[in-house]
Amino acid sequence: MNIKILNFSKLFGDKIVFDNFSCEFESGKISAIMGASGVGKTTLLNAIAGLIDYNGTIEIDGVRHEKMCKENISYMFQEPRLIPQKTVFKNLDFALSSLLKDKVERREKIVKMLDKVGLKDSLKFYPHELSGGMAQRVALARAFLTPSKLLLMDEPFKGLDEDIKKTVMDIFKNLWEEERKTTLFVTHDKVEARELTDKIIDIPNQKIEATGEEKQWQNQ
Amino acid sequence: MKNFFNKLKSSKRFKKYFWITASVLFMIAIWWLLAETYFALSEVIPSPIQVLRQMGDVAGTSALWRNVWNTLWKVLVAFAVSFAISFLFAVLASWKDGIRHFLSPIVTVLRALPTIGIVFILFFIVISQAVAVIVIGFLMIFPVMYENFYAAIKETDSKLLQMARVHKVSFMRQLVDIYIPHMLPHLFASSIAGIGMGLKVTIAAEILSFAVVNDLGTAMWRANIDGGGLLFMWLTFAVILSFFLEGAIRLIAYFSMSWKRRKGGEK
Repeated sequence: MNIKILNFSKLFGDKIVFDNFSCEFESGKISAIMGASGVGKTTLLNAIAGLIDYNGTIEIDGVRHEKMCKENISYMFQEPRLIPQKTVFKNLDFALSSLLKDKVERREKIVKMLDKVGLKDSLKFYPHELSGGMAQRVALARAFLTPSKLLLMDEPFKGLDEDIKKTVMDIFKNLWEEERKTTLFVTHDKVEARELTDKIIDIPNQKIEATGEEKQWQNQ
Repeated sequence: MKNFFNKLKSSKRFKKYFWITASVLFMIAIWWLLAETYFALSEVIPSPIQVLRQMGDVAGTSALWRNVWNTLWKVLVAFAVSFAISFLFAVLASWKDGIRHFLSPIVTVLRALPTIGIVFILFFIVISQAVAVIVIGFLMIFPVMYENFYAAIKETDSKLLQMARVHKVSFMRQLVDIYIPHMLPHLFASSIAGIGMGLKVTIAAEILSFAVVNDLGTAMWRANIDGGGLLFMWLTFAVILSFFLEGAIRLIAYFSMSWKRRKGGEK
């Protein structure tokens, strides 16, 4: 899924966050979006997800997308955004409910995905019973459960301890390898960006930096 | 044994019930004091013992249950109708600003209308006492519940709603899984306020209807004319009824939000 952003502008009150910003994200690659706080990294992801209004054009696979993106999109937010009164299983079932109608198929997919993120035994847990790392793994499972070709990630590893961050990143790498979704990854952490992504876009300077050839963790 | 009492004294539940009991005893003491001193020569406020005796005499008779039931069903109908309509309008108002603006002056007027004024008008235009009493109950409860429900919907976690939108979850599923669970504490809090208000307004309307019906309002009206301290007995029954209605809602709230009490799990 190729994403092209042309003359993208966004105002919040009087504050210009984006002024004719253009860039392109290649299909099947992981691109990091970097920049200081408040430059509009999350705004850009929200615009691509169709969650906010903007001026300009966003094209997905050559098709201009208007208000609500018709394509299925996976979005891993900064916080896990789990429904507090629902178990892990039901949270995933909720996200999948309108995209996959067959209950049995949904259940199979969820159990399989929870196994992949190491939470097979936690499917009956409520969000308040999960640690930060476990909750982020549930969010990761939800992002990869959604049948989509585009994955948006907004600082998904922020606030995690180094060990847990490494575990979640490793799970991400394995899951990404299976599907190779086009991924836009917002982060503050340059080390994280260099390890995971193919390209870094620095938003205020609109400077694009290639982080090298295919990553070692990506199968050739 | 000493250990048991020390544990009991330090437990949160013990402290809670200790203060509740102290509060009830304080109210009874004030009542008793007033009855035995300032109102000792009149029958306006009988002593707690006298009321208890009167209650015991009436408890076994069908008159009590008939009066209570005839008031209770009107309260429940007014409450149920108010709940349903408030909920529906709150959903519609949060969906379309136009509906919210349209409802805003209506709710303001209903909130400001004096109960007695509406009572007289309704008894004049509505033939059935029961219908008039229910309509009055509804008109009093609706504005309070509607505003609480609307505020609850507006306070729903926008981040969860964004998540649902990204996953293209249907509005019905969002309503059932995000909006309603978020609203539950507000629903129960306004239900407790609503049912208490409903009982008060219903009894007031029954009294003002001057109808020859067996209900709590009419019983109070008759007791006031007959004297003998019976009015206080009926007031006490009304308070007990209110206590049970509130308790029933609290019980439903307790079971509806059981997930909140679950603790533990792998860390």
